[in-house]
Amino acid sequence: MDLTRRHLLGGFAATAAATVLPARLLLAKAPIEQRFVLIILRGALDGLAAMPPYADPDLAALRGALVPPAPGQDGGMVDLDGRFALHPGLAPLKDWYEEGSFLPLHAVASPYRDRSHFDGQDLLETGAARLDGTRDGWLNRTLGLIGATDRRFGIAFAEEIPLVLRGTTPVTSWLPDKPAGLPPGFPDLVARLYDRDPALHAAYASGLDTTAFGRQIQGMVQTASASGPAMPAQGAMAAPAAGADLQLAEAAGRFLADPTGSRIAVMELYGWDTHVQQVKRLDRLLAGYAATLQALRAGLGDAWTQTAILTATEFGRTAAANGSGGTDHGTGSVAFLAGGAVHGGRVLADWPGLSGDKLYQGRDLAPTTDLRAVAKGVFRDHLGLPQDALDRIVFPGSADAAPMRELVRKA
Amino acid sequence: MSLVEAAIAVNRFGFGARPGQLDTLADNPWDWLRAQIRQPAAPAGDLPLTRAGLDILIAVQKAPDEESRKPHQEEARALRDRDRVAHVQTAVASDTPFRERLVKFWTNHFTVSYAQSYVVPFGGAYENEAIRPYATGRFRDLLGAVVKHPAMLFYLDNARSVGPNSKGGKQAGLGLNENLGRELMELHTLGVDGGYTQADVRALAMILTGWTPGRAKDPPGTVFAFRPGGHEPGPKTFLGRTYRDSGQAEGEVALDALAAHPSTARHIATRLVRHFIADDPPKPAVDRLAKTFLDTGGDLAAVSEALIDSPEAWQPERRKFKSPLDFVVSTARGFDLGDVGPAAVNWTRRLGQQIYNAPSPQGWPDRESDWLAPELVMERMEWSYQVIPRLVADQSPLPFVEALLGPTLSEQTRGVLRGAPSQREGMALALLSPEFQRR
Repeated sequence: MDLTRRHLLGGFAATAAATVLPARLLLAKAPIEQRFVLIILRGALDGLAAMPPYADPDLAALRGALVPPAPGQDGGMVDLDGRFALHPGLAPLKDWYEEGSFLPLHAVASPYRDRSHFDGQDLLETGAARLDGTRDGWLNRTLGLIGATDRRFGIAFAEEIPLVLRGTTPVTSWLPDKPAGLPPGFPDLVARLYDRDPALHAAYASGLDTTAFGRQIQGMVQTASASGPAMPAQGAMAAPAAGADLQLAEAAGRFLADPTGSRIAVMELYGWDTHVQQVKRLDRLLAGYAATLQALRAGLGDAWTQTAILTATEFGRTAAANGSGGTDHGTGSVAFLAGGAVHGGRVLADWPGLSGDKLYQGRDLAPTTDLRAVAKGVFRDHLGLPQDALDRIVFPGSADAAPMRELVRKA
Repeated sequence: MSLVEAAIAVNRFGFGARPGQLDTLADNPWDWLRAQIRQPAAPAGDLPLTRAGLDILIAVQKAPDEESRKPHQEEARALRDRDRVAHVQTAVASDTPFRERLVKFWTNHFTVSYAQSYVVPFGGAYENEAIRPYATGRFRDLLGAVVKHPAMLFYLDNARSVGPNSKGGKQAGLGLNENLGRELMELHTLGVDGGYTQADVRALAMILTGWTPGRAKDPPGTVFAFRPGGHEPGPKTFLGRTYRDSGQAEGEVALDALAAHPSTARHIATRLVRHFIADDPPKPAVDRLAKTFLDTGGDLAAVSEALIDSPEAWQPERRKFKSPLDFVVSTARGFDLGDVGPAAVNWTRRLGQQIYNAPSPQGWPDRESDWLAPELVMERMEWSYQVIPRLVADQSPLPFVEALLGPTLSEQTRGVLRGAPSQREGMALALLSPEFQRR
């Protein structure tokens, strides 16, 4: 960032925010100290590649060259508990596992059982029990329950606000800022333009506030920029190890760490739809994902101990390799919990097996853990939400998916 | 007829007005729209051919080392840059903007993306050879052109899908890839609730094995070839019907069935009405378009005409928030820019829409809730102010925007524009007004 130009801009956002927004929004303290981050891996992560059940006797025959070399071999997977291993790209997370802040889960799925990316992501994000036309997301409903009064409490580190965060509780989105050079009174005039257009007004007011806050955050980010623009182009998160993306992850951590900052955040990583060239692509993508988590932790600083990060994907991929060095759309996958608040250091999996009769519809890893039960376990014990609200409001119609126990440490 | 209807015709169905255009259209905006879909497609000018793109890919593959690959990769990147500009420029320069909106609609409906690197040489070739000639023709012809185009065959991996029991499949140990089979039904034709199963996905993928882009050894000019050696032998059951082993004909019959399916009519009607009229498509309009689609055997000119004949489309309320492409193009047209050049591609990217890089096979989103995010609204504000000096904008904001939108500005907007402290700010505010942000 160019400090001089950023400095010149300092006045505008402060002025604009002060006139557009009620003053309390500038100073509001978050209603909770716990942090929750959802990382959505869009495109359907192959859980059997990310965390191979390498002790399963059927794995090698199903997947052949898609299975990384055995633990101990050059470029091999990293053993966790004798049954499961991490893909070599996730090797940095082994230390977290050892210290107890990484909790991987296997054979996980949302209630969705078909294989459309878009419907799958829809259900993952609305938190509904089935595709029923719900148009708001479970994180937005959660913010409502917590009593979030400031848009900044709920934030998407993305251009668009993903469905999981959309709803009646105001939220915001943010990406690193570029100097704009606007005249001081201009944002106020725009605000007046939008006085009678509630949708534009809400998005605009939110944008102003978050821009001003983000400008302070940006000055603190230390992750080096590899090259190129600070703002990732649409879809550029497909290469999440790029410097700009790691800077974004670190900035996200700092948004969450700030006493008046965000508490519930969403990040998205793209590119997981590995129909072809899966080995090469997952090597890069999983390494990028691990680096993203590390940058997020760096930004969180001491707030790491109050943080739980859930990583989820819309569904898994076929148990067998397809005909072109990849995998097709499947069902069960993995979910990862990470963070200082997480009770990790173990793999949670009610392992269904990979033999033909154990596969879902004869082709996919059968899901044995409901993703909603994972999220509900975190929300009950980490955010302190009552189970009744989790059953009815956060994940409507989910009473049969009881919150999992002991996912987070006792405070 | 009135200026209000002329403004609706040019903004809702086109890419925005040019200065002075509303007056010339006020006599009969319907005729102006109808003529655009009933006249033949205009040639799109000097753009690369599909086969030329294939030749680049072949040269890259044949190159023995990185050094000799480089010039061909450079060539592909040059095409990519040129095609992105052309995608925007054809919209800015179009004298048949309703037809061009339809071309963009179909290009997005059948999205391909540079995210898959084999697609890079084909953006313009795809739009011009697979979409543009068919945008107001028969849906079945459009579908066939798309499914046979290398851009789609590469993007959704059919180029690598081989029948597991075919000669090629047994020899090379290759096999089926379901990607195209699934998206063809879910996104392009039936819609996700259109009544198909996982078994149908697999069957369609089997039926389409052997459908591949042209290769080096094919006769000159080949862009598509059916290769029996990769085609899955034996009968297939697809959508309740048995397909005998008959090579390429299986796929042609399957596309016939998809194109004629009532679910396809409904899916296409819904997407068209959502794109042109409202995020929540009014049911009467969807019903009308779906019926026209079925009654005419998928005649897209008739379906497009049903769209402009829908009373729902002529309500004064602006129910669509402009996409970044719409916003940039309507700005350029409002300032009567002839040639926008590469800058316009940077503009749409900055506002959230990198041309030919839609985030998924679903294409760019088409609802306000997808584009009206705080970060993107900030970008629109900053961009509008910054771009004004590049647009020869020595006009008075209020008359400028009224000439483009007609006499429908709110008192609120008028007040703000009148009170703008400088001409530059006033012009930027005109672009940012709710009336210009919506259509």
